[in-house]
Formats: sequence, C-alpha cells, structure tokens
Amino acid sequence: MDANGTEVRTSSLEIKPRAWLDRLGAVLLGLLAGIGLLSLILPTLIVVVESFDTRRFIAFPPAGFSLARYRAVFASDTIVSSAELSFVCAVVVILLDVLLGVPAAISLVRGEFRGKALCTAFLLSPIMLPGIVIGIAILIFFSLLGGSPSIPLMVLSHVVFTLPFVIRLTMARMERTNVMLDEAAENLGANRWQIFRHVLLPQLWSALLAGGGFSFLNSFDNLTISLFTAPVRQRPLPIELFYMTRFDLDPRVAAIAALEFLFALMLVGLASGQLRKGGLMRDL
Amino acid sequence: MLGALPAVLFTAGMLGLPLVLLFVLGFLEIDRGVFTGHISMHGYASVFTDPFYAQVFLRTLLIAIGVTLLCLMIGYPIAYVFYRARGRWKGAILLCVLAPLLTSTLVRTFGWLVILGREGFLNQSLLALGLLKSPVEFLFTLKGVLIGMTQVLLPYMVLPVMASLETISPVLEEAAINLGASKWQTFWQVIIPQTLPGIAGGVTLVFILAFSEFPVPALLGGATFKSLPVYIYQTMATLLDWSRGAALASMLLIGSGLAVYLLQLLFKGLSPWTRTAQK
Repeated sequence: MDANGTEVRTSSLEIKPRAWLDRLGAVLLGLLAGIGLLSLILPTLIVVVESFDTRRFIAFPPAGFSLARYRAVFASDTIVSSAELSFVCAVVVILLDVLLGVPAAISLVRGEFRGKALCTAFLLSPIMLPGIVIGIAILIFFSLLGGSPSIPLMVLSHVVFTLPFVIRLTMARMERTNVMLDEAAENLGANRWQIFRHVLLPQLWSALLAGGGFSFLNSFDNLTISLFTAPVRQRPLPIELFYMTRFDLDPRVAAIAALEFLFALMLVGLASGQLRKGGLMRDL
Repeated sequence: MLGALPAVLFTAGMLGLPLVLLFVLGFLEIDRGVFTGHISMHGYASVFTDPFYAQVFLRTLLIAIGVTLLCLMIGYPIAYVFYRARGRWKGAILLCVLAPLLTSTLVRTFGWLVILGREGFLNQSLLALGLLKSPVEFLFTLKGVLIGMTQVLLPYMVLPVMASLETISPVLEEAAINLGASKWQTFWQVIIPQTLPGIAGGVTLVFILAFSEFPVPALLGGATFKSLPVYIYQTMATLLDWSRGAALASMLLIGSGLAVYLLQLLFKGLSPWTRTAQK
C-alpha cells in the first residue's frame, strides 16, 4: 500500500495523473487482448506439436519426433470408418441444405405473400436453439413414431440446424442482386428455370460456397445433436473422439485433431478468394 | 411462396412438432423409448421439488454468467486492439479470432486437456518460471471448465463488438480529446457507450451458448462435474429416464429464452439512446 502510494505521487510529478491513467489503461487493455489472442490459438498449436510425440501417453513437451500417432490413426478401422461416415454425412447435409434452402431464400426475398416475415423468422429460429435440446426433441419424437437413431436420422437432424445458415447467407446475397436482371431475362423469353439457372445461380455462388462450407464443418464436427440421433453401432467421428477423450486421454486424438485442423485450413484456403469477392463477413 | 414451402414443412416436421412434444412428454411415462401408457407429473415434479436440480441449475447459471463476464473482459480488448491496429496486424488478429471457429470444439477441448493437465503445458511453464512450487490441479475443476468455455466462446463475443466498433466515427473520438477528455475517459464515455449494441449481441450469444454448452464441461469437468446439459445427457443416455430428460431439456430451453428476454431489457435500460431512437 505504502509503496504504491509513493509511486503514484512520484510519477504524478513527472507526468500528468491523467496520462498516467491513460498508460495504465492502454497496458491493461493490451495485456488482456494479448492473453485472449494467445488463448485462442494456443490449444490448436499445442495439439499440433503434441501429435508428433513419440510416447504412448499425453504430456508436454513432446519427448521426440515421430509419425507413430498418425500411423496408429490410419491403422484403426474404427477411426477411419467413423471419419468416412462423418464425411459422407456432411456432403449429404450440404446437398439437402442447398435443395431446401436456396428455393426458400429466393422466394423469401423475391416473393410477396402473407406471413413472409413470420416464415423467415421461423426458418431462421433454429440458430438460437441449444443443440442438446434439438437432439433430445428429435430422438424422443422419432422414437415414439417407432424410429430409432440411425444414419438418415442423424443427417436430417444436422440439416435442421445447418439450414438456417444457408438460408441466411443466400438471402443476404439475394438482397444485393438486381431484380431488373430477372425482369430483363423474363422479357427476353426465359422461363423460371432458365432465369434461376442462368441469371440467379451465377450470382449466388459465393453464398452457396460459404453456406456449404459452414454446413460441412458444422455437420462434420457436430457432437451434441449426434449423441442423440446417430446409430449406436456406427459412430461418427466426433462421438468417437468424445469417447476417446472422455474415458482416457488417447494420444491418437492429437493426430486426428491436427489432421482436422489442416483440413479446415485447406477448406478456408480454397474458399478465401471466393469469400473475399462475395463479401462473406458482411453477409454473416 | 412455393419455394419456401419444403423448407417450412421440413423445419416444422423435424423441429417444430418434436419441440411441442418435448414439453408434453415431460408429463408422459417413457421407459427406454416406449410410452408406457401412463400420464404422470413425475418428470416435471421431480425437477421442481428436488433441491439437487436447483443446485445443478444454479451452478449452470453461475458458470454461464462467469463465462460471459470473462469473455467480455477479454473479448472487448481484443476487438478494440483490432479496431486500433493497422495493416498486417489487423489480418493477424482476425485470423486468430476466426481460426478457432473452424476447428471443432472437441479439438480445442483436447488442446486444453493437454495444456491444463498436471504434466501439461501451463503447469510446466509456471514451474519452469518459478511461479509455482508444485503443480496446480486445473483439470477436472471449475477453473478448468471456466477457462475452456471462455476460450471456446470468445470469438462469439469478439465478432459482434468488432462489427459495432467499425461503425464508430473517428471524429467523435477526436472531438472528445479536443474538448479535454483523457484517452481513458474517451474510452469509457465515448467508445464503450457506442458499442453497446455489439456488447448486447455478444453477451446474449455467449450467454445462451455457455448455458447449453455440453462438450467442454463434459470433458474438462471430469466424471463427477454436473452442469445442466451434462446432467441432461446422463439422464438420457445412462439413466435412460426420458421423461425427466424431456422435462430438463424443456427447462434448459425456457431458461435460455428467459435469459435472452431479460438481457434485452437490461441493455434497453442501459442504452441512453433507445428512447430517442424509438421516436
């Protein structure tokens, strides 16, 4: 206390008390931001470093360099088949999202009908719902109808919560398209399909790419909903990872995590040019 | 109209009906997925009478509030530094904020397991620096859950605040400085009030996500840690008590809906411009 008090007084002789407070504020802000930014990237970096460890258990720092954990991942049938299952499901989810979402987005932006606002709010509402509630509601509902957790149910449950993102992104892009282009095409004798195919679709690519990527990652990574809708025997990758981490710290998870990160980076790298052109940040 | 029909029917059938039934099903007796034919208050009654549930609910609420405050405390400075940064720094900060959104929660939670363990990165670094004499238990404690959840949800706080900082006119800041305000005063009295919409958005989003977060507390909290989502999962998957699970899930949904409403009221009251804006 005493030391602090004198420090304030002496420093206030040299610089104005206000400037002193300003500096303290700037340092505090910078420090908090630094800690935050470090914490955002640290876990991923550590996992990547850890994935090359030679030991049979997880501890930091790694004792040496080897690809043993990667070899173990590809040697495991359970892991490879669960990754394949998740991949195929995510692709089907994108397809269904686009088939349902794009016509919906177009008619919500261009169409004029009663209850349009309500319709839009309803279609976007699943974004606000907790995943665990969505999963349980679907599981109980379909169980009472005589169904059981299965691959189709899992795919449909993923479509439920990824569809709003595709609709929102497509709607945002649609709002920036020019109606006069549609009308010009119509006047030149194009039918509705031709207008969609040759006028609208070329303008929507960036939104579809962003929405599709978003759906893919969200479906591929989803744990909370899949826990209730995925079949017990064939587990998707996130559930497999959940069990591998929950009951013991399986070192192979580090390698899978590093691979997933690499995959996400590749996806972003491929899309980033398109996204910049399409103005994804604005649409989200 | 026709274009939106399939999507509306799909969402209504896959989510609308199941949600309506979820509330009702808290009243039905369901044993391992089969309706027994009895109607009972058992699901809801046990949830409201047993102090154990009140405890779980309260713990979840406090964790969500703690995580939201931590995210605000760390996320606002990140957004502000981004607002101030120029050129290459701006891109680097944005990358740091967006990259975690692309990696799965499980991957990042696993990272925290490696960092927070007894032999993990944090303990090793603190020991090496001489700040600790013996390792601290972070893993499977409340501390670990708070750290992990804050990190996982941080981008959802930073992005809305970033967006609202971008809309501030730099002229206002210069005017405040010219009128003799210190930078510290300008920050608190000019910058922060203008970013209230962004703060409101971030706080609401982080709170709902924290309130229903499952993987992080399930993995970082250890076997005995119980937050509402973790307990719901155990009720459904291990105890196979579906009617109680349905009741608890309904409570989770109602709780987060109520919280969103209260937060909206709070921020309406905080903002000095809402009354003029409404005119």
